[in-house]
Parts: sequence; structure tokens; C-alpha cells
Amino acid sequence: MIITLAIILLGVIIAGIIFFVHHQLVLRRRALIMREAIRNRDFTFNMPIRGLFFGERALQEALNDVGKDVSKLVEKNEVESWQRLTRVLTHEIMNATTPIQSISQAYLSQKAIKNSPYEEGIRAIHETSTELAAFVRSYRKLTQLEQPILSDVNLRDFCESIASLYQDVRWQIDIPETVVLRLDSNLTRLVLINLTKNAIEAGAHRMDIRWNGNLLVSNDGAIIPPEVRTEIFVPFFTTKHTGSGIGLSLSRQIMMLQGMTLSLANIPVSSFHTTFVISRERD
Amino acid sequence: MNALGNILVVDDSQAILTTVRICLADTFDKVITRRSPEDILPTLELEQVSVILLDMNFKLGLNTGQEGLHWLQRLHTAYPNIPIVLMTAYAEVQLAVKGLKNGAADFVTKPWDNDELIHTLRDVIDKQNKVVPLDKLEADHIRRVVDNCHGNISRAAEMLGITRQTLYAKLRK
Repeated sequence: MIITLAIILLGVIIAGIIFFVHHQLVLRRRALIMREAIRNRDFTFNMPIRGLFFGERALQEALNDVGKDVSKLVEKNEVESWQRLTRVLTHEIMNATTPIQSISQAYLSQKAIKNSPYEEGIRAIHETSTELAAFVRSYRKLTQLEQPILSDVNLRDFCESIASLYQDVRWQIDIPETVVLRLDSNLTRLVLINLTKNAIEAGAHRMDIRWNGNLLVSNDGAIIPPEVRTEIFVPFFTTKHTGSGIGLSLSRQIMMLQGMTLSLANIPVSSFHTTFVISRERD
Repeated sequence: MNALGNILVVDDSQAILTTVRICLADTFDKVITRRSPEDILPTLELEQVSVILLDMNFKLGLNTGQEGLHWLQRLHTAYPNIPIVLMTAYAEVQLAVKGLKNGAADFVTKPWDNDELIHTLRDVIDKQNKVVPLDKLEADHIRRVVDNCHGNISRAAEMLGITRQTLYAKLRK
């Protein structure tokens, strides 16, 4: 009798030890995955909290939140440093282009140059410098955003008004009628139009906007290749021939000015290829 | 001889100064160039100029335009009759508005189109030279005072030192 009890007790203890070691291994694997993510500069862990004890669950949730905050800070820093860089570069380039453009223009109108062998070359200098200045001018937009004017916007009406602008794609809008956000509707319209245009250029036939606490904007255009995913919000980055690389970085800045974030979802909404997420900076 | 007289151009970049000397040579009698804003006031004591073209940024790495605004205010106070045109490589609306509020006659952005630059300079000089008839000056002044009094005619008349009847008569004109 006593011996049986002792054996059962021993069994329970051994099972307990095995479970304990196993559980520690699970936790260590989580830590490794998070370290790996940090090494890849991906701070949104979003680790599941299933199978954890309540204390561990709380810890994991705290880590997930920290990760979310860190990635938002990184995004913000990136935008701000690009903005500063653009500002300085624009200034320097515009200053440097002035003599080239203006002197070549002045020479072109001089009698000694007209119909001389130099005319063609000077004209090329003048035209190239004018084009360069126009190119740089388009980047000014990045650093000169106006302050948003926020008002209560009914999200469903707002999205439907954008859908009506692009009738070549099939739209699916799933937003409860009661959702109201504080937005600058003019600036935000630019963002949604930009996402739509990008999608159409990527060959999309269907667009989907839905609300799950965040705004999810999906399309079935070409999949964004993994090596490009981290680059798409970088100013001047583009994969299009005639692209300027302004759209998405400008869109992200516009949302930031309104206390929101714009990011690419790791997993798109089902039956779509790409999903962008617009969410509030602080929930 | 050109009707536009002399122009004073102030920019810390030698290349910009060379540029204006070349592109404004046929428009002005003399293109006077200075690299430092400190030299502006001494230059104005010696030379007669009909317009000043002033850069907004003089310190390397700084492009806030603060320095240009500072000099604009000083010059405008000392020589209210010489129109000042600001130039900047970084066209910001706010900066332009600030410049105009502080007495700038106009604003050009680098790089400029030569014809537009000349057009702008000619315009501000013309505006400066235009003699406003006394009647118009009086009418403008009266309108401003009445506006300031929010349409209170008795008050406006009192401030202008005339009777209400006279003011009514002038307003009717």
C-alpha cells in the first residue's frame, strides 16, 4: 500500500520535472525567436500567449507591447531623419543648380553663342539643370506637409467616396456604420488614393477595406517580394520605371501627423495578396 | 542707359554672385555684389541702388532663413525706400510670408528662370517709383481708419481730426 503510494508520488514528481524542463525549453525557444527578430530589426513579436502560465502570459504581453512601441519609434525616427536629409539635400542641390541653369540661360541669349558650335552644348546644360531642379522640387513635398485639420469622419462613407473614384476595380467595403475616426479627410484621402493607385498599377482587380479595430486595406495585385517589403516606406525607393518613391513614405508621414501608423501586414487578409494596416498610434 | 539703375546682390556663395553679374548685366547699370551682409550698410552709404537682392541663409548648414529675416528688418528700417527681394533655395510658404510681413517687396526661389527674375525685379522697382496721387493716398488712409474703427464713423472722424460731415463727403467720393 505504502509502496504503491510512493511509486505514484515518484511518478508525479518525475512527470512534474519533465513538464517543468519541457516548459522551460518552450520559453527559451520563444526568447530565441524574439532575439532573432530583433537581429532582423523586426520588433513586432506578436507572440501567442497560449500555453503559458498567467505570470508568463503577462510578461509575454508586456514584451509584445514593448515590441510594438519600439517598431513605431523606429518608423518615426526613420521618417524624421529622411526628412532632415531631404531638407539639407534639397537646399544644397537648389543652390548648386542656380549658377548652372541661370548662366547657361544667359549665354544662350547672347549673340556670340547663337548659331555658334557651342549653342547645342550650352542648351543641353541648361535643359539638364532645369530638369534636375524640377525633380528635386517634387521631393520638397516630403518635408513640407501642412498640419492636419482633424474632424470626425464617418469611415464607411469616407471609404465609399474613394471607391467611387476608381470603378475599374471591384470594391468590397466592410466597415460598421458607427465607426467614426478623428482624421484630416483631405490628407487621408491622398493616402487611400495612393494605396489604390499603387494596387491598380500592380495589376489589382479587387480592393477590400475592412475594419477590425484597425483599418485594413487589401488588394489582389502583384505580391510585394520579401526582399522589398522592408524598403517600400523608404523615401525615393521605387520599383516602378516612372516612380518617384514618394507615395508610400509620404502616406506614412501623413498618417503619423494624425497620430496613426501605416504599415504592411505580415499576413494579408485571406484571398488578397497585400494588406496595409492603418492603426492608431496609441490604443 | 538702363532705366533700372543699380542693384545690390548679397549672397555668401561666390558662384551665385557670378551668376547674377552675368544674367543681370544687360538689365542694370551696375550689379554690385557682396558676400557678407555686414557689408550692406557701408555699401549703401556709398552707392545709390534701386533694389536689393538678399539671400536668406548665410550660415553653413543653417537653412531656417532667420539670418536673412534679421538683415531684412535692419535694412528695411534703415532704407525703407529701397525694395528688398529675398532669395532662397528652400521655398517655404511660411518663410515667404514671414519675409513679406517683415517688409520684403517680393520673393524668388533658386534656381530661377532669368526672365522671371528680371520681371520680378522690374516690377518691384516700378512699384517703388510709382507716385501715388494725393487723392488716392487720402482715400486709402480714410478707408483704413474707418476699417480700424469697425465702421464707427464718429470715432473715425475724431481720429482723423475732421468733422463727421467732411468724412461723409470724402467717403461718398
